[in-house]
Amino acid sequence: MLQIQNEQQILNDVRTMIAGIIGQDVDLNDQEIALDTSFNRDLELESIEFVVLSEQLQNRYGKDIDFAGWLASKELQDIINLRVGDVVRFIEQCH
Amino acid sequence: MTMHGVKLVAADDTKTLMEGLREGQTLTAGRGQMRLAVINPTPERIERAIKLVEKGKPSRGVQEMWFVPDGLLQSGGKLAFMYPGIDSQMPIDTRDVADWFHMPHVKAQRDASLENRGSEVFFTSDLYTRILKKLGIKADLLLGHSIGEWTAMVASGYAGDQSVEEVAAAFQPGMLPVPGVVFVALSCGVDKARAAIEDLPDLEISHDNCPHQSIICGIEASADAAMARLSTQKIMCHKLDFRSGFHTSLFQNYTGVIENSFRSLNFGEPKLPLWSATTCRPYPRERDALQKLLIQHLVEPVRFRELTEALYAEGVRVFLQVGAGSLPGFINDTLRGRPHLALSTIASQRSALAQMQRFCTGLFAEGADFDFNAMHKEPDKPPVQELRSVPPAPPAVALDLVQEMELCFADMRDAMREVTAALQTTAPFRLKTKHKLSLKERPELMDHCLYRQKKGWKNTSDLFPVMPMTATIELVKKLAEAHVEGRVVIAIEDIAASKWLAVESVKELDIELSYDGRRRLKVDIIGHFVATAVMATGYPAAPACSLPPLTQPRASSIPLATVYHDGWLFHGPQYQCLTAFDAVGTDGIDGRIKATSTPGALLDNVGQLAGLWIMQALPIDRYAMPIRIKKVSFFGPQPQIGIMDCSVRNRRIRSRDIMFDMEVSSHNQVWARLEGWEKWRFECDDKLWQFLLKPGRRLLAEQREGFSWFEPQQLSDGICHDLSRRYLREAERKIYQGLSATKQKDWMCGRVAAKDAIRQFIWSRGYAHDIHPAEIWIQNDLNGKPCITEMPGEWLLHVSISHKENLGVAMVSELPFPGIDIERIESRQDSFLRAAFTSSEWDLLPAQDRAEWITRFWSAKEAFAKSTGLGLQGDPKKFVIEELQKDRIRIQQAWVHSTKLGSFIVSKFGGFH
Repeated sequence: MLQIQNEQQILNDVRTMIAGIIGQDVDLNDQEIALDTSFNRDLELESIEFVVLSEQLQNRYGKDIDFAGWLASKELQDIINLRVGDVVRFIEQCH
Repeated sequence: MTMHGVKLVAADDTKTLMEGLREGQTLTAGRGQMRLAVINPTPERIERAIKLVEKGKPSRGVQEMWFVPDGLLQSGGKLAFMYPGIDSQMPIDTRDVADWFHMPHVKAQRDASLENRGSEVFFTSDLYTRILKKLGIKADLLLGHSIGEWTAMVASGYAGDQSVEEVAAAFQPGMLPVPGVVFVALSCGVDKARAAIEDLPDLEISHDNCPHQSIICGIEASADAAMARLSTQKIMCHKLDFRSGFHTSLFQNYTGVIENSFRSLNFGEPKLPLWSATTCRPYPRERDALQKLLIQHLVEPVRFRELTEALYAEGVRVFLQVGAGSLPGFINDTLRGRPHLALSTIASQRSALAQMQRFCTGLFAEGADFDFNAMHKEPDKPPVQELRSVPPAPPAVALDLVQEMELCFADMRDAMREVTAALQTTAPFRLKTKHKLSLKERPELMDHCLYRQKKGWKNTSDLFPVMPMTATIELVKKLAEAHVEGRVVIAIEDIAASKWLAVESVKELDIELSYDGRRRLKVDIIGHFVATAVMATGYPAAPACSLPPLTQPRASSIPLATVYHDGWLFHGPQYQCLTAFDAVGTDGIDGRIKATSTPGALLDNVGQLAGLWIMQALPIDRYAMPIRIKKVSFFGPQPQIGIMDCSVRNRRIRSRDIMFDMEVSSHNQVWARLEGWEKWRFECDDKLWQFLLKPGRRLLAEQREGFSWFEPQQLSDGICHDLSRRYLREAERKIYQGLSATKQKDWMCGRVAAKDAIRQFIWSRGYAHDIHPAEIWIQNDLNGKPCITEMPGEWLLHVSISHKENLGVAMVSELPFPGIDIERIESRQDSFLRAAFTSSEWDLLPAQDRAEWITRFWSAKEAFAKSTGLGLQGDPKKFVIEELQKDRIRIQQAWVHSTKLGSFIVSKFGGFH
């Protein structure tokens, strides 16, 4: 499994994944996807895109990342308000 | 909300494009290959947009800016309008756009019933169809998802000049959900979904939406099992909040009702091709083929992913969702990595008006040309009011004919909705009620006594009258129809009986009713019975019989005339309605039943037929009682007279249960269909079975030389409890019920042996009548010695009983004080031997088969001591063995007979002369 270094690196990973998923040419130097970016309001990520993201996270960080289980434990409102930082911190916690 | 400006620029080269951008106008549309758009074009944004163009990298909507040098439509891609079905993403408030275009509002029905949600989806899509028309945005083709195909039919012109209201009304009955069926959305494609549902009954894939979403649909138990499998693979599963069996074969039986509705539709000439997600091809034009596809659409899966691929191959590059839903997400997932664009007219993140600006801008950027002014102009007429509360007064401003018609339709629609709503919604409730059951009010229940006793037997506890399960179903029907006005019960589902409703004494039932406000009323007769009544304003049309013909039909081996009179069935006159057996096959039985007004009798006789089939078809465990029914559907009120045809088909046989499907019909019109009628099979060998058929004539215990021996092969709690009703009278049963569970079985075995010994004795003396075990009353005296308090005949008889390990022995004697004992042969410790036997007895013990002889000695003492009525009283040396012969042992000058039976010794002493 990959050695996870820090929050910034995870954020970069997540950013690249999101950019790939929503098909936008996101400039990584631009602060467009930051820790406080909301998946729903800012990125308008669809639920299916979320599934793709979770799949990619699992491929990248290993099967220990039970993203589906983590989401299942949340209330609908929490999922709607989910920010990129929440996902980054979740991955950090798993290691 | 007021609309900010949008800057739209089109040109064939970047230079002209940037010039256009710098010009002061906020709206600069024109023909050109390259397209640039900026929403709310502040000077900063204009600067950023210029940078974007300079970079030359296409951008679509990031920070409300578009730069598309070679748009998807511009380069020949086709535009498709997608019509969503019922979705978790419900339409948002669209009044702002409706007002903008002077169109009537979509009235939201927030009670979330499937029908109303369906209506809201229809009308929202319809609103946007008209807006798109007004804007001049034209699609190359249309498609729909699930019932969105119906709205798409209207938009395409297939539905002729019928309004969306009429079409929606025609489809309404089709939205009846299949009972007990759930949808579960899975975050995986069909391959994984297929693996997850493998081998699970009544569970199918209903939607193949995209590589990361499929939906399965089926019965809850199977769905739960699939979810459990998927959760181990970290696949998200989500049960949808509406029920229906659409797009599965489970809906097959429900299409009949809507086929008629479809016939009422006038099909028109389509103006635009409509693609089907059932066939992944365009809809046919011929009426017959069209009607066939409409049905197919309901019972086959939605192949949206494949349709997406097919349309991509057809050249579609831009997909616009007309209404609210998840379709753009499905498209993006399927076409990920390939050039395409999926947009929606409604997005939950912004107001309807803001989203309109955005999707229009997006379409412009890809090369669409339309009436940008329509999108941009400020409203110049007062917005149309909520139509329900304000009837259209003569308009101050002259409305054009179209608007007038729209208002008229809107009125009609609202009126229709109000009527439908009034019919459809009794508020949900949950209440507790009581129901009194007594033989006084329900005397017919005396004809439903589970246990046969002597003719004229007065004790109702020994007879055990119970409510037939079918009468309880009638009660559920009655309760449901009494509590929900204007509705009839068209089906009862998930019927489960846990305990007999015994009416030996007056019974007060606690009942809990919970109604979902739409169709389903759950009835819980606490501690006894649960079921869910499905209600509707009327009965569905009676279908024709559908059960297959009997396999290898032959005549019944049980003649009809003997069924009730020779004890095959326990039912009394009020429930004796079988009038003919047509045939018995390897898979079921056909017969005829006389309809009566006795509640539950008709359906009870259906169960009787199933019972008679079991008796003829199964070699063992033929004693079966109903415990569950998956579903009973009614196609009319209960017939009260006439002869009904009844078919019973066996669906499944397992060691402990058996399941049937049945139909009750008249002239090939089904009145009631029973699916999954399940009976519990009690452990019942042939001996027990013969006894159950003729309890006054047959013995359960073996009659050996001088004693009675009862050793049941297996004695389950259920059978033991059953025997307590058949062998004991009420006073005896009270003693039995006071014993611990482990002691109950031993005790029961002893009583069976004793009563059979007594019955055998009486018959051996020439008594010619039946003797039911309850006619004999055995009590215990103060010392615990059993004595016969009551029995038929004039004899004075003494009894002795012994039991051990689910085995009972008993003997009777006309001489006073017989004694019997049973012991297992086993080696015993020296300390026991020293305590039990004197030295003279030691000397008598044979050297061979020592364990056996020690047991014989001990048992002989027990038997003799019993005969004194007092037992050994803790002093085994009180009675000393004096002599030993081959199979008898002398104690105090009396001979005790000693018999070895398997691993047991039975000792009996015949009594004192």
